[in-house]
Amino acid sequence: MCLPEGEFILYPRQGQNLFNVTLKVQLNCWDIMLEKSENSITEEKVIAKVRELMETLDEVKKYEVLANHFNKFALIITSSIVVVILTSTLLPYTGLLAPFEPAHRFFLTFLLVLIPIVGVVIGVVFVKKQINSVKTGEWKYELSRGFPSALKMLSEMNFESYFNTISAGGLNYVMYGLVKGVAYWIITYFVAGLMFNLTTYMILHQTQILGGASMWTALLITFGYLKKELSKRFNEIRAIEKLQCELRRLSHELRNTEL
Amino acid sequence: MNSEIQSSKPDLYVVARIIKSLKEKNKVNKTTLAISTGLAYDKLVRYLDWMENKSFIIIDENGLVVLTKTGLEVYDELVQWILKHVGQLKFPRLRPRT
Repeated sequence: MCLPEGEFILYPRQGQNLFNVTLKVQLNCWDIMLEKSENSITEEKVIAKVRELMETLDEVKKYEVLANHFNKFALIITSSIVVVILTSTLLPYTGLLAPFEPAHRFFLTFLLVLIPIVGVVIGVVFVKKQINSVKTGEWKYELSRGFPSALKMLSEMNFESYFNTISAGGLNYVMYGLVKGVAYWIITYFVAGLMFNLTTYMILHQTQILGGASMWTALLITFGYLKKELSKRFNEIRAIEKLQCELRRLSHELRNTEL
Repeated sequence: MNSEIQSSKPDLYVVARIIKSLKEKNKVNKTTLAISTGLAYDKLVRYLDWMENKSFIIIDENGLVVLTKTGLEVYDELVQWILKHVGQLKFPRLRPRT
């Protein structure tokens, strides 16, 4: 029943039509139902917004993991770069390539590119594994219990703990792109060298005649990549910091609310 | 009046849970309310005392808890207030780059 019992008499008064009385009761019911559904829509909106917030915070947790594991990632990449530089420097002294012609020697040296590639792959897989181990969506059950639970989650949330690591590790996140950029530069250097030497070998039957062209080309390509990559990373960190400010304000207002 | 609620602010979440439960059940006794809200009975009683002082609820002669119009309005205002503040938040599309 929409209305309290006994409040409405459905018998028509003199000159009144039963249909009209029934219709009036029906309209009153609709008013109440509409009001109730409006309230539940508002509650649903709050829940949807809190869900969005929690999903964003789950992503923030991943940034935290990324920032925390930057050192290991950098170590993997740097090791692969050091190994490739040492190998390419020391290889001519070992005499391993002596039996080959200079052109063949160059193409065999190209295989060293596999070292930084493997380094980047290992580093990225390692970081991806760490990111995938982040537990997300643990709040879903709590939020499914309705508006009060959404309110509880908002009021009990320690926004500071979420964002402190990110604020501190923001630089690490940007450096992550930079370290990857250095590895890409080495890889591009080898690839550009191969392309240039293949071209000169096919046309002039000679290799290593373009001097440092491959190095500068690789540097130019990497610079273009880094410019885009680093600005994206800076923007993400800035967006997270902005969100942090807004959440801090919300948290402050929630704590100071009085009924 | 309980000292915990008197000295500190009541937990909005607990108040909202009680009101929501009362909205769904209309009149209800304290034990049933404690079960439906998941609150310890003595904690519920302390909150009900506080809410009765604020005229959010009334406890009738049979001991049944009834939500008042004020209580209902406060709950709706709380929902609106939260929506106003949370609704302002703009979430960036984040996806950590590896």
